[in-house]
Amino acid sequence: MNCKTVQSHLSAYLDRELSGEEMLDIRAHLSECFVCCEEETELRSLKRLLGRLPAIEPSGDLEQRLLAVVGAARTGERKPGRQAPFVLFAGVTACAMAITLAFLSKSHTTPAEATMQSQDIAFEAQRIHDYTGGGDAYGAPIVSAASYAGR
Amino acid sequence: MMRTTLQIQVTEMFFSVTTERVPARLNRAALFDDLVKQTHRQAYSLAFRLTGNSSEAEDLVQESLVRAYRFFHRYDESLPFSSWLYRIMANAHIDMVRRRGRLRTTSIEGSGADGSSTWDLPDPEASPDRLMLESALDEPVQTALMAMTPEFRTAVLLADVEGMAYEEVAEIMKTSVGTVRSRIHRGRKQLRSHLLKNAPETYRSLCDEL
Ligand SMILES: [Zn+2]
Repeated sequence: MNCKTVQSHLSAYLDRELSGEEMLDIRAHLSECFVCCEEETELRSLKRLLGRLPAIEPSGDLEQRLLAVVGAARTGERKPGRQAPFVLFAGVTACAMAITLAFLSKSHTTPAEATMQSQDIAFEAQRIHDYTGGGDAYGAPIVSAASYAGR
Repeated sequence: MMRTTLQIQVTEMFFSVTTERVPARLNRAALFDDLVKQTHRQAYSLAFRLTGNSSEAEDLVQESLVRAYRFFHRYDESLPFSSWLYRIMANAHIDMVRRRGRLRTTSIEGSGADGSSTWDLPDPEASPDRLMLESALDEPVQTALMAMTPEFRTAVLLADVEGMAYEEVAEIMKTSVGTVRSRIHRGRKQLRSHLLKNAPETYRSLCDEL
């Protein structure tokens, strides 16, 4: 192995993510090459440094807030505040839908009923958005940019 | 475009299942609450390292947990819940940064062998919260992390801070082990050069210490 090849494998070497043969080849090279040995030492320090970064503690009430948000998602309620931009977007879409639908079906809905429908549609809109936002093998969707918009 | 699609689908949904609402299953709810309690601290710490500040970190954890809950019925229990949550978080984070980057700049693509640019544009909002970071080295390291592309940052954090094997990282990031290997190696080298350039004394004293 030449220096270039060795240096490109150094991180994987430190992480023991190479085959036994490759590990031995690199170890042999390091024992006789000062330049690569220095490089290895530096990358090792950096890895240790990252491994020793302290965990960052959340604020004391985060657990309660998260449980509340999950609880709200459970009942289909939407919390105001952070998710407002998407709710607003969904709400506008939903209102337009509700009005259109009300018009098309010539149904007589009171404003309160229309609001209820809007909320239903807003909920469904969010749900559909989740499903269509790109799922992975586990079915976990990617968080939509919409909910980050305007931050 | 998206709005139109959404409207069409909403229409279909409205006529088919608007009145259906899955009844809350108490066991599932309690189990999920327990998982939130068990994992949120570690998830928050990773989210902070990914985003560089507490408010985005909280948002990222919150959004990821809500999505995890919605898709909990598809969660494969052979996998640790934290890995599944990290998977949602990591991809949400990369997705978010990419979209934000696309709004800000026309072309940062192209220099990376794996399709990602080597350096991301620094985000003015991404300077780490000073109060949150305790040790002297923490802030320069966090700043250096924020200067990386989200793909490199995520790979390095999962491997070096979370202590995951390349295969686990690849699984979480939905990519190959070879790509993970390259991202970690290049990511570490980027971190080192950033630290050497911006905080040489702290970095040197720390390396001597280690
Ligand atoms: Zn050499």
